[in-house]
Amino acid sequence: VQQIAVLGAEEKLLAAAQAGDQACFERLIEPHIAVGYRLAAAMLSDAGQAEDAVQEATLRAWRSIGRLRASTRVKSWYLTIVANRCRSMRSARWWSVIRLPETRSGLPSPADDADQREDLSRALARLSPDERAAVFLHFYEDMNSREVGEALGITATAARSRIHRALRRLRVDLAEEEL
Amino acid sequence: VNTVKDLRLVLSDEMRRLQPPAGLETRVLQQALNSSFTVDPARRSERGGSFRSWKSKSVEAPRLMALVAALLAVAIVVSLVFVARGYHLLGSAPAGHGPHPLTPYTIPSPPSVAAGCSSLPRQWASSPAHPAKMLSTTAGWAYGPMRTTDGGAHWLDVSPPSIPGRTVKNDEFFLDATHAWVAETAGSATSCVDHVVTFKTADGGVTWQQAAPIPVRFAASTDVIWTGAANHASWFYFVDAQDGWLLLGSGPVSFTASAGVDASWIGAHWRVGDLYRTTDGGLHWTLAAANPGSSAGCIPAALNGRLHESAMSFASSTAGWMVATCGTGNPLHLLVTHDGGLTWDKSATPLAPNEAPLFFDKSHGLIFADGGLLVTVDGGANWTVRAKPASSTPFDFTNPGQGWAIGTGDTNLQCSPTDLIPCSGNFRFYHSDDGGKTWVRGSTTSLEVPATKWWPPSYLHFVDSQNGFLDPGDAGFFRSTDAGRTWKAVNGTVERG
Repeated sequence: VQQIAVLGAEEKLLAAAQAGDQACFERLIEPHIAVGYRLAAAMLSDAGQAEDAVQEATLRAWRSIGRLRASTRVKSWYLTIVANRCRSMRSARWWSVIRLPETRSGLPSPADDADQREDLSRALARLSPDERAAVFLHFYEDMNSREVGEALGITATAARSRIHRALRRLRVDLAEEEL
Repeated sequence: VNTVKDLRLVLSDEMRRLQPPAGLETRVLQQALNSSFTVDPARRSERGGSFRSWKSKSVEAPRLMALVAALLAVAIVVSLVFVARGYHLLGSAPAGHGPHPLTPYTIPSPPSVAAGCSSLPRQWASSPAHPAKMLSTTAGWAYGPMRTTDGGAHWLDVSPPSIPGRTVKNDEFFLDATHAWVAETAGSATSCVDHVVTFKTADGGVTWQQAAPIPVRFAASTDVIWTGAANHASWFYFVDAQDGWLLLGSGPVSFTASAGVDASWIGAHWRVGDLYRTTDGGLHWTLAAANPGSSAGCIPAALNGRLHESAMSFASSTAGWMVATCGTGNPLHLLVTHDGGLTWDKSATPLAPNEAPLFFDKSHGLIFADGGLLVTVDGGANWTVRAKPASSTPFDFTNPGQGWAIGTGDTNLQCSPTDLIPCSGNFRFYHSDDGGKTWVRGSTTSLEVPATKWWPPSYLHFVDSQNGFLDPGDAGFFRSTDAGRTWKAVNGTVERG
């Protein structure tokens, strides 16, 4: 019941935002900006560019809110715009270089574990932005494959394949129950 | 070999490093809603620092060279495009007819609207296209406008230039593969929204002609303008490349987020609905009727997201229909005109219409109603009720005889909550060869869909007896080349025109 009530509220906010109500648009989008930023950071590996991507995505969301169908989940729609924006920014970066994460220090873990995670971190950085986005949304944001697919503009099956492909490249052994 | 736990730890570390800066939400929303394209100097400085912190010197030179090369390439392409477009416009614009010349694709900044109003310059499409009108196995339009010539695999954003003071309310109408119109609402230095500008293309969006603005009369200064309702429930209609109508509604937006939203809320609060008419393809508009239907106690109704998404349609340059609310507003009624929109009267129908009729010629038309199908063979003078298949929702007819309908199949379309298992189910397809008198039940057809919320589809159209398009209404759409027996997902990409 609570979920239905929340969904109903979102629909009302959406209708009001589509009618030009900025406050309703803010209430609708604000909860998703942080996750949008993290998605952009995962795809672009750069904090400054991530903020730019979210900034532009939010502007686009405001401009195109009138076309959003009532049945569409706002979060997925917004993340789709963020992901598209990131892809555009990536394609514009002709000079793009792979930025490998800095070596972390201070974690109280055994040296071999740290090395292993360091390798994993580097492998993560070598994934394509779309693979990294799928992995991030599923394993960090705990989104299921349907939601990942919606956010990345692909089917749930394609999202699942993308996650599996990425995990193979990361050499992550996936127990079925972990899905 | 790593474990999922390792991966989650690495992701957490990464996200700690890239955590959102303080005040991100407020800053982002303020920037977006102010529609400002200038970057806050303070943030620009911060960002510069961020770039400098990781960029190696060896990256600088190639980056600079790439930038110079990119600028040169863009300059050459832009020059060629403008030369080509200018030449085309000079050749196609009627002499002395007054369409405004095309302006370069620029985004006005700052927006030229009154203080306190927001302007929403046109933006290139950024999300996957959904077919709005497929005309053949290859050619079609999507809202944007976007155009495809390969069955939806690739879409080109061919939108017209952005006008000063543009707002989010706009409408689009697609007649055939080359003719399309866009109506945009816009504000001025003294008002948030006070006029409508239409654009016309006769070459698939390669060039656009802009008509003189149509001023909108208001009953109150707080009114907003509508050229249709949400989801493109259109009041924009052309029967051919010359004859068209545009209904402009105005009234208050009186509900709030907590007050609830009625499906017909827009129509219920209108104060003004002016119908404009063009006979030169949308270059000039004249007022045909003020508040059409008011003499019968009705006001035009805005529909929300119906399959054919039209609240007004015409069968010829004189005969047209409009869905309206009369009295208490429910059920919906049909208004009819026989003089090109100058006068409107109530037209009786056996079932309440959900949307304006779909006419194939001056005589044969259909209305998709909840209770069945309404069919006319005499230009709407009489309507016959035809049954629709049980549990079916979307209909489509390619001509007065041949139609399709979709109903739920043996297995409901469901998704597992834990999902990573593809959601799937099936639906049943129905076909009629006699205008809906009888329906032949097809076998169930599997369709993998990511969510039940995509059902029923928002678009179903067959361009011939074999080739159909089905849009669940969210990401991507489906295509059949075997009369609906099997469907294949099409994930189109969008490019700038």
